[in-house]
Formats: sequence, structure tokens, C-alpha cells
Amino acid sequence: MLFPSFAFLLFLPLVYWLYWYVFPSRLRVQNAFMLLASFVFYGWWDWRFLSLLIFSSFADFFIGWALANTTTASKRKAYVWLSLVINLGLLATFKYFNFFVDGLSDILLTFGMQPDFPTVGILLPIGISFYTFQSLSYSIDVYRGQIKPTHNGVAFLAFVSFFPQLVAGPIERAASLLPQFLAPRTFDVEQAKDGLRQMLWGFFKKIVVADGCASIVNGIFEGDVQQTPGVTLFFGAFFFAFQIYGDFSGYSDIAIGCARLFGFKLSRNFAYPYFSRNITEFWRRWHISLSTWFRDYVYVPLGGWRTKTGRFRNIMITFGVSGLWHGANWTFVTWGILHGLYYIPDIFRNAKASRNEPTLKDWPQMVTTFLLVLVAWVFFRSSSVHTAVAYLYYSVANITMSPGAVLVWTFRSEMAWILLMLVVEWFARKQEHALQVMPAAMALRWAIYLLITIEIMLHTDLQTSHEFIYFQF
Amino acid sequence: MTPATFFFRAVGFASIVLVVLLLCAWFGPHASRVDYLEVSGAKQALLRATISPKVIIVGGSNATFGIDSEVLENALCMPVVNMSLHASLGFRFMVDEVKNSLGKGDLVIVSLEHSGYSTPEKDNDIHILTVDRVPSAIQFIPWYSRPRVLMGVMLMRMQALYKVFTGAWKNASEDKVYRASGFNERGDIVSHIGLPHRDPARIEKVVYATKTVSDDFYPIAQDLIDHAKNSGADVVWTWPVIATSSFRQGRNDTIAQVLATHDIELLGNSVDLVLPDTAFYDTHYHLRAVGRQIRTRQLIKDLCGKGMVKCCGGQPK
Repeated sequence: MLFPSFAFLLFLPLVYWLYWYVFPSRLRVQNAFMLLASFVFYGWWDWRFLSLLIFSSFADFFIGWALANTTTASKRKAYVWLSLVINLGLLATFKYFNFFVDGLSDILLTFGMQPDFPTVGILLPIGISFYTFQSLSYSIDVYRGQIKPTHNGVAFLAFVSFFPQLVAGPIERAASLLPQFLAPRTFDVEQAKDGLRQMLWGFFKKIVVADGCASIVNGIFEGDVQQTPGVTLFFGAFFFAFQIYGDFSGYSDIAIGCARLFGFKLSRNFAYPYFSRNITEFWRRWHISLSTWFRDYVYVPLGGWRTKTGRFRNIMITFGVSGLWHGANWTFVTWGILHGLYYIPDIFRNAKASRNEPTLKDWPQMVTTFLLVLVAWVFFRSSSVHTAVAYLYYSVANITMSPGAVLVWTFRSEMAWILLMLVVEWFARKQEHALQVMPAAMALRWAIYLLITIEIMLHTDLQTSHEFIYFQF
Repeated sequence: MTPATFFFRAVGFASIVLVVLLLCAWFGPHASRVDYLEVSGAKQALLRATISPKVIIVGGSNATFGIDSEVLENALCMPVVNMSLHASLGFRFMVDEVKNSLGKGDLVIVSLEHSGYSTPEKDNDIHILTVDRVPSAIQFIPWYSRPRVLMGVMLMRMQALYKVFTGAWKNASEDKVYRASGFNERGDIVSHIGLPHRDPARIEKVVYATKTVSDDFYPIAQDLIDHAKNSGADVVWTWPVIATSSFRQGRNDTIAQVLATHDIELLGNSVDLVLPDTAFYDTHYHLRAVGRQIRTRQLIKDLCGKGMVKCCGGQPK
């Protein structure tokens, strides 16, 4: 079920009502109901996907149990390896099988062999990268002794399949979300109100900003780059930067806000990343739940930051794997490696992400960081590394062909929405989300909500599906 | 504040939004300037007014563009009602539209595009645009889709009203072909006849779905057959005409096999209905004038050859 859909418009109030009014008194029943609601939400796409979700969740639940009952180090290691094999095996089969087979075929071809490996036509289950990582981190944390395993199967399944964040995160750690399923929830009206506001802003970013940019981006990226003016290509990447930001951070806002309606607190996933002053800071603000996941489960186990050369290697591996996590294509790996390379100067300068919020005086650093990120986005959006390189080449080579002013005028409405979003988020940059602090007068507040809602409705395109980009990952 | 008070406040806000939507729907223009789908109402009226025995053509726009009902009527000596309009309405909608208007001696000719077999139940904006123009068409949409369609009508009218204010509405050109006044009295579209050739690159090719025939297809077909049987009518399937470059023999073989498995009467051979790309107007299903005559003659030949109807006009060559 998509958040911007008529089905969800009916689903959410119904689940809310049943959750607080029909099943409020018994935690076990409330969790079971939340699990059922999550299965309906996920099964709405294709009920067959549920089997994988249940399999992955049960596997880690029992592995967690087994880990708790074993003290032998070798057995414990074997169990955690089993979890890795199951979860990464699911990913490898459903997401990367053809990618690896094609890669192996290419390698053998260069050695003059004629491989004939079979490829499979499997449907990629939505959100598989998100829930397998969430489930896997549970087993690893139990193995490390960072959390105690739960014996409550319903709560565990509800934790892995919690519908607001199931298909595109934030990727929650068991230590943070699982205890919330094990303790009674109380209704907090301020949390619920703020949750709805956050959802509203999420819908605005998704439907008005991201979907508004989508058609421009598709037109430019799918055109003949050789014949396209350089400034047009620049704007293609520029709009994609805001499409993916609006799309993904919009989803996260809706997910976090929705969870708050049910008394859950999810992790923050975006903290105004385009206001970052360097790449280190960008990665503290962009897809926070994934970057911290890779930090804790890949970068640190590799050795982390102990030596400068080791740190360089570990950063490159972590970013490369993080790129691959996004999709079975070299474009994503290149995107990751490029970000790893951006990190190198920060390592040598020993640059740290500032804890203070940026000010307007920081604009040169913010613009530089944004431009670096923009170059990397070209790889992320392109269909192949070759087309991405051509895109960047012609962005410079065709700079004199540019009808820039015409372009800005043509896309003035999308530009205006991006600008509005940036201005609102700039003034709210110390808050968790853009609509956290609102005017005290109720009439004014409601007028603002109504205006945003109407704007969302005016931009709702009933002819196309409002699918989120990150669903494919 | 309790969860209920909060809930009712949120419902209060949603009600304000709903009132805004209703006002826009009431005072706003139609969802689109293109009034092509408005003819659905006239077709329903024609179907109800035409006495049996009659020929009813059911299908997507391949039959709207590709059949000359007057020629067919003269050959079969029966009035013809061409109910076909748009493939995206879906086979379910098409069946629901005609099944209760069948009478003794009627002949239903089903001419579906390939999407009619692969996705017979549609859930798209064409339903919204049809209900926007012909509100009574809501009865042909499954009950569970109706709230979404009604909401869609309100939303699209609101968007249209906004376009009126910004001037975008005035700038949106009315289509010369896709208009309600472009149909003849039997329900065929004729506004494209005589228009010059289009650049072949601008003619839409057929996009096939992964699965050729959906599991949902047969129950809908059976529903039509059962209603026809109870009313004393006959149902027969025919191939859509298709352009050479979009033709896929394997797909048609699969469809023919499924129809044969369920004892569904299928007329003719799909190869006979493959015409050069130049015979088509804007998609590889939409015939121009010459192709329309060829297809109609072939249909008459197939019908008379099968002996399904009395061919008073004689068999065409």
C-alpha cells in the first residue's frame, strides 16, 4: 500500500481507531493487531512477498533465542553466521543474483571463455533491503550482548514488519524499537499532533516537490545528452537532487509521523542534508539510519578509524557496499565510491561534522558540498556508468549551447516549490521537522495546514502512481 | 485530550477539506477539456433504445475506430450498437455496461485489445474521467472502487478549476478527433476519417503485459456468456486489427488456446487482421478509413461464414 493512495487514506484512520479503541487494554492483542495491520499494508502489493518477510523474521527470532541459550563461543559464532547467510542470502537471491551472474560472465569473457550461466526472472520484493537489515541487526546485537533476546514472537514480528517503516525505513535497531513493542503505549496528544504535522510535510515534499521534479528529470536523463545544452543537463541533476530528497525524506517524515500516531518513536532519518558544510556532515544528515547501520556493522568491524590508511580502506569498502545496497548496478557502486573519495580530504584535514547548525555565512561550503553531491547523483540516476560519464562530459562540453534563462522560466513553478521548501527548512533547521513549531493561534495553524493540503491535492496526479524511489532498494 | 477527541479533530479538519473539494466539484469545470468519454452516456441510451434483435459491439477503441457499423448493419439486417470506447475502461466495465440490456436474438461481438485479456479489471483515471462526464457510469464500476473514483472526480475538478484561474485551462487545446461530437449515430468514431497520415514515429506501438491472459479474464467472460444465455443472446469473440510491427503470433496463440479451453466462440484467424503500419491513425489499434473497411468486410465474412447470423446483404468478397 502506498502512503499517497486512497487505500491508505482509509486504512490509517481505521487502524488508528481499532488500535486505540478496540485493542487498547491488552498489549499482546494490540501488538497482534499491529502485526496484522502491517501484513495487510505489505500484502497489499503482493501477498506472496509476506512469506519472505515472515521467514526472515522467524529465522532471526529463533537465532536470537538460540544465542541466548548458548554460551559456547563457536556455537554462538555459528548462529550469527547463520543469520548472515539467511538474510544476505535472501538479498543475494532476490536482488543480486543476475548482477553477480552477469559480472562473472563478463570476467570469464575477458579470459576468452564462453560462459552460459542462467539468469532468473524474479520479482524484487519491496523493501527487502530494509527489513533484512533490521532483522539481521537484531541477531548481531544479541550476539554482541548489546541487547537481550526477546521471547515474545508476536512483538518481534511486529517490530520487523512495523508498517510505517517497513518498506523504506528508517532502519530501526532492535535496541530502540523492540522495547517499545514490549511496553504499554500511552496516547500522547502532542506527539500525535506533531506526527500529523510531520506527515503533512512529508506528503508535501513527496507530491509537490519530488513528483513535480520527476517528469523534468526523466525528460532530461532519458534524452540525447550529446544534443542537450550543458545548463539543461545541470538542471537535470539539480532537479534529481531535490526529487530524491523530497521523495525519500518525504517518505521518512510520513513514516515517523505515522508511527507517532500509534505511540512509537522512530529514529530521525534526515536532518536537512543540503545544508551540510562538508561530506562528513552530509552523511550525518542523509539517510542517517543506513549510515549508522553501515558504521556499526561494516565500518567498525573492519577496523574503523584506527589508522589513516586503514580508515581510508574501510571508508572505501563501506561506501562501496553501501552503494551496492542501493541496487544491483555499477552506477550505485560508483556513486558510493565517489562519496568515499569525497571523504579523503576530510580524513586528512581531520574534518569533523560540526554540531552547530549552519548559518548563512557558511554558504560557500554548503554550495560546494551540494555540487559534489550533485555530481554523484548523476551516477545514481543514470542507467549505466558510461551514460553517467557522458552526462557529466556533455554538461561541460555543451555549456555554450545553454538556454539557461528559458529553462529557469519553463520550470519556474518547480523552482518556486523547491525554494519554498528550502526556506521553510532553513528556518526550521534546529527542529526535527519543518512544521514542528507552528503559530499559536489555532485559526492560523489550520489555515496553513489547509493551504498545504490543497497544494498537495492540486499536485496529486491520478494518472501516475506515486511510488517512492527507495522502494526498489 | 483523548485519542478520540484527537481523532474527531482530525476528522473535523478532513471535513473542511472535503467541503472545499465538494465546492470545487460543484462549481468547477469538468476534469478534462477532452469530452471523448461523454459519449458513454449516449451509447448507453442507444443500447437501451434499440430493440432486439441487435448487434452489440463490445471492446476497446480498436472497435470504435475500426468498425463501420452502417456497413455491418446493412450486411446483417440488424441494428448495430457500437458500445466500444476505451481499452482502459477494462473488460469488467464493458461487460457490466451491456449485460443487463441483452435481448432475445442479440449478438454480442467482443473485440478486446490484448490488455483486455492481461488486465481485464482496470483501476485508473479513465474511470474517473468517464464518471466525471457521465455520472451514471458509476454503476458499472465495482462497489469497492466507487469511493476512490468519486474522490478522484472531485480532485480532478479542483485541479481543473485551478487551471481555469491560472489560464492553463484556456491554453489546453480541445482534441480534433477525441471528442464526443466525433461519433456517428451507431457509436463509431468518424472524426479521424480523412485526416492526413501521421508520422509513423508518432504512432503508438502496442505495449504488452508480462502475462498474456489474466486469471480474472475467464470469470468476467463467463458472466457475459451466462447473461447472454439467460436472455437468448449469442456471444462471439473476434480479434482486434493490429499493425504488422506490433503483431505477436505467440500472444494470440495463447489467447486462442485459453478461449478454446473455455469453449468460447472465436471468429476468424488473427493473421487475417494484421495490416500495414500505414493503415493506422495514432496507435497500432486505431484504423484509418481504408483499414476500417477491410476490417468490417473481414468481420462480416467471418460472421456469415460461421452461419451465426442471417447475412441478408450477402457475403462480402
